[in-house]
Amino acid sequence: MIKKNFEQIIKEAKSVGLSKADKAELKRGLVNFIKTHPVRAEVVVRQQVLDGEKESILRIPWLLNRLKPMPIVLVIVLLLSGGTAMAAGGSLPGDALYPVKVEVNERVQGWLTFDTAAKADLNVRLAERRLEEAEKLAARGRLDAETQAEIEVRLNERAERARVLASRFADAGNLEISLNISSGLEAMFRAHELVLRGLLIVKPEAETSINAMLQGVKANTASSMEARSETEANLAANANADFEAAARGKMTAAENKIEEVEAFFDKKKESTDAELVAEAEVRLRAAETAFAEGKEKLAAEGYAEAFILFNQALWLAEEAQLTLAAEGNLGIKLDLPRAELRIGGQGSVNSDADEDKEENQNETEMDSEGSLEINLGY
Amino acid sequence: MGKEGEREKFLEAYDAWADAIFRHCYFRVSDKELAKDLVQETYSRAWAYLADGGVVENFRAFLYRIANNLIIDNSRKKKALSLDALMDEGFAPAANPTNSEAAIMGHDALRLVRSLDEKYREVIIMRYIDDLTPKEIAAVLEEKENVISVRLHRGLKKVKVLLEAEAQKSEKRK
Repeated sequence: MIKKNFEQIIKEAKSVGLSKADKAELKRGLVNFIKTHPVRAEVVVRQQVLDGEKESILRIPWLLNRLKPMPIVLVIVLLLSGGTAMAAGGSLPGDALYPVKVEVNERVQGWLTFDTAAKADLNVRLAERRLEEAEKLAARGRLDAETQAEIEVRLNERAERARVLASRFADAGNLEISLNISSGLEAMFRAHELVLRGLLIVKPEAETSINAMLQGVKANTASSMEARSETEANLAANANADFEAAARGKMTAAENKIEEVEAFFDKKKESTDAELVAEAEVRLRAAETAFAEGKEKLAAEGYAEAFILFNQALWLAEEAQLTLAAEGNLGIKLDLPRAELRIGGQGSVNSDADEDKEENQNETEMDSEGSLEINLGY
Repeated sequence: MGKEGEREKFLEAYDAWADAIFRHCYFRVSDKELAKDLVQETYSRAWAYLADGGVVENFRAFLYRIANNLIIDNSRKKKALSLDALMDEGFAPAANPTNSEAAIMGHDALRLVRSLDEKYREVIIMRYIDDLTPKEIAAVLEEKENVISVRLHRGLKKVKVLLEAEAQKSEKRK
């Protein structure tokens, strides 16, 4: 009796549909949309979507509701100008267009990313963007406690999303992609830890907020490192002969990246703060060493270890690149006193004794011929 | 495929599935006009993706996924604007069906799914009204297939409980 009722209810439900008139009306709207969005070969996804936003904003009232906090003048500007959503790209928390950037542009970017690995990379990139926003605000003296807390929430959401996807890949047996995501997170957080510690020194008036951000970043770095190490261990344990191709592929990727970053290094070293250059160089050399070790393992048919080493090389180079690019992104010069930054150290200035000790240690390690044991957590 | 071919194929997909997408949205958001908007938005975004060179294997699942994302997003915004949400949810099913309520499309099904948690509503609608397989539902919601199966099983049990309660109520009235 009850089952029959359910069936009847479902049958009735299935008869619900669009009226002929409605269906035709929507189709006309769609045809117009298609006319204004022709098939293009190589257009940035964003451009397409932004054009789409202009049309759909008019059709969907609830999208306008999102923009409620904006003054009416800006809403009209948004409706009339196709470029507004693009302009939102550089906005920061507190700017009028920031909600558009985060709620519309980035959200839609996510929807249109159907490849899960790309989605994970997108989340890493968006986590980084939150950090860059915090850094820019701090550099301009606009990072208050409330804003910092908001940014941190968003940052953690993105980082967590990336971590979840990484573990899904691992569960599905795809350790290479999982490792790539964890490594990407780690490199990104480590590079920004450096930048934040630099900002702490040059913007002491924002000490509280920057420190709060730094604590969050350190926690994220730690969990990313943990995930990465775990995946490396899994990979090593599950290696088989098929891994040769993967290892060679990673070698090529690492080689290209190192080459790219070396060129970038040469370009940037004169105009970048000496301390940042020094830190970048340390990582770049470590990348080269890891690469060389990887080649040795490859020759000895240790494909899993080779893969892991090439992966490390790649992400160390990436970290070096992020370090060099920091000042450009921030828009200010970080005039850092020598040897103030230590990747394993505290936020504030080290005591003289410690400073000398660590300085000597680093120099010794860089001079030695054997395998490099830099204290970078690898 | 040539430009014209893409367009034709896409419009065929509209003719084929617009009603189904509408139906899905309607039972999820309980609002005919909003459901219409969502259909147009779903197809527009799908086109934007294709026009940019995106490749889609299962177009039907692709449409459902876009629609689902739009619906989730909509409900998040509604939660944030509680006063507006109260006004949007003006449709409050009364205990005794009146003429005007019977005129609302799929009234019984609407009442039934509205009594379910979103988690179960999603999968019940997709399985029984949209006729998606558990595997397809898993692809749309980006969940594992056995998670979906469990959810369907539990959802169906809740449906049974609801229907039994209804039956008892109408018995009492007699």
